[in-house]
Amino acid sequence: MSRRALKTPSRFNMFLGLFPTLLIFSFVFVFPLFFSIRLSFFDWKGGSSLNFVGLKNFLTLFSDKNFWNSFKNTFSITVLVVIGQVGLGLIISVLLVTKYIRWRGVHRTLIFLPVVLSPVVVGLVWGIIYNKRNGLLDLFLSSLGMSNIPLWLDDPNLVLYTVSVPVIWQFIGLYMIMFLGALESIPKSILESAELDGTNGYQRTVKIMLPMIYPTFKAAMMICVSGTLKIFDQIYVLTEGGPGQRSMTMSLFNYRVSFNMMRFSYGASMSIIMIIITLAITGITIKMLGGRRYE
Amino acid sequence: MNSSRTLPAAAAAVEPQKPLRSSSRVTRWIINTLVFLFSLSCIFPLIWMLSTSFKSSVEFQKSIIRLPESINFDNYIKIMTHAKFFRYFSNSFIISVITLATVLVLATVTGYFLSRFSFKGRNFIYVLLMLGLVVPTHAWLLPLFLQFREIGLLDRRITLVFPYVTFALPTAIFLIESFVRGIPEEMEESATMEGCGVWQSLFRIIMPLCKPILSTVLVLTFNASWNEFPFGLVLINRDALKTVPVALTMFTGAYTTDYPSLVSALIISIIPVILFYGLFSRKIMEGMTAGAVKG
Repeated sequence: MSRRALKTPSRFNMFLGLFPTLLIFSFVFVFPLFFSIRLSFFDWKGGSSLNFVGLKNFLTLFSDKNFWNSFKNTFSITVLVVIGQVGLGLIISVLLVTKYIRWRGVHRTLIFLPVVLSPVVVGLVWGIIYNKRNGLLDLFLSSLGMSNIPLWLDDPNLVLYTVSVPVIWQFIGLYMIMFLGALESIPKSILESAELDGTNGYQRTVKIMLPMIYPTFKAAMMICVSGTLKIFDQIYVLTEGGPGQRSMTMSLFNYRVSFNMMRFSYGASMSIIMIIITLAITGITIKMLGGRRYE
Repeated sequence: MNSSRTLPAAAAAVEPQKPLRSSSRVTRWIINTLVFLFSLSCIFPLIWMLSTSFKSSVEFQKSIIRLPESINFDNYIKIMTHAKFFRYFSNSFIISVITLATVLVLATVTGYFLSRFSFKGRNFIYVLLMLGLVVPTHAWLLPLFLQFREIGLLDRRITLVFPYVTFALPTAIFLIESFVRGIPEEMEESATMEGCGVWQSLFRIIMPLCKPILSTVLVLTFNASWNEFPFGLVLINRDALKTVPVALTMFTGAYTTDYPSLVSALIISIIPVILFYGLFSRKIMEGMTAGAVKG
């Protein structure tokens, strides 16, 4: 607790300082949320007729196969992406702090580089990589002597994996840097005394380093889960949800319903459910991880 | 990771420079190769794009991987002149700069007030900002669109500044708030004794001290608004006001067969973020992972 020796500013100054932030936050964040909630209880397609329909939109939504399909896809992509991003990010960061590795700084800089790019750009680049006639991946695989190369983005059984790969690839660097920060803050003395006690590198990693960065792991999981549940840009660019609905995600489906089909009130109720689902899954993830405590 | 430390601790201390056993040499080689390959995969698409952007369409059809016969900027000239890409570029730039200036001022004031003073509603503001961090922003596309349409705020130059500022504020405020916490209150106390008001203390004393964190906020906010896609897609319809990521997705339709032109557009679009990354890579990494490392 910091002591508050400073004199609190006058009410007027307080108001002057906080009002602009609260105003824009209410205007863009709070008000649209309540607008959505209200709209979801009505039937409205943009015209002048606005009929109260109670929970009808939500009931329609709960029996909408396409929505549940988009939820399942989003969930699958999130599982894949969490394993890929947090898992590989953790492995690479552990490798980078071993004494074996060379050019540490170069690796850090290069692996983090895709993080700063726009997901749209990454999606378009991977679109070229996956491309049938001019694709880098096909060229690479056929030069290895592989025939029978699948249609990466048009194969319904493959598409969830192929759209996840660019997402994983782009953000591994973010998680790597998070874990590196935590690993490097472990006091050297702890590792040295463990080394003197005769532990090997594997033991030091699993028994000492990983438990010590557990809080960071939790935060990384939270960021990764909540971030991937809203995935939109890459899917829009790569497949537009296809083939069929096989890679349709919640955000993209919401966009289609709202802006292509102009079903505004239905879209609004979907927005509400999306917020609830995302907060719930993120909350459950934290809860599940919170059970184990290391000190 | 295998380790060579099977010797008793004392012996190891006497002979720290002992040559690596062959098994650890192999481990070292494997780890270095793996990490090197991954780093290469992060930079290779960019190098390939750069090389492709100098090729003519005919050259590209002959081989997608061979280096260009000569460096010619025809594709870039075509994109910047015929494809009106310069306009999209300046649209994105203007919006990002306005967003940036607004966020810097609002976040500094709010972050300062939150960290220094206790007042009614302080916790409410915290909860609101925290919510802004974790909710799926895509659920705001539809209500914000409808709200902006109602008040005639669609298709304006200022339109995108509203969501960009709002969704950049929570991170910016939290970063500044925790930085100000680390500045001793004596700094302002002495100023107050000399008769400085709260605004003078903030802008004359605190803000200059905050330079490191402000530059972090600057790069993060610029990056986020430069790369943002869904709001740009939904809230702007007039071609003259479109931003770079939206324009890029339209390009794929028009230039499907002309990959070198598309790739040149991608290269132009990432120049600002790559430039920032080259100059401030440390700051970007710190800023993006700040919340997580603290746990």
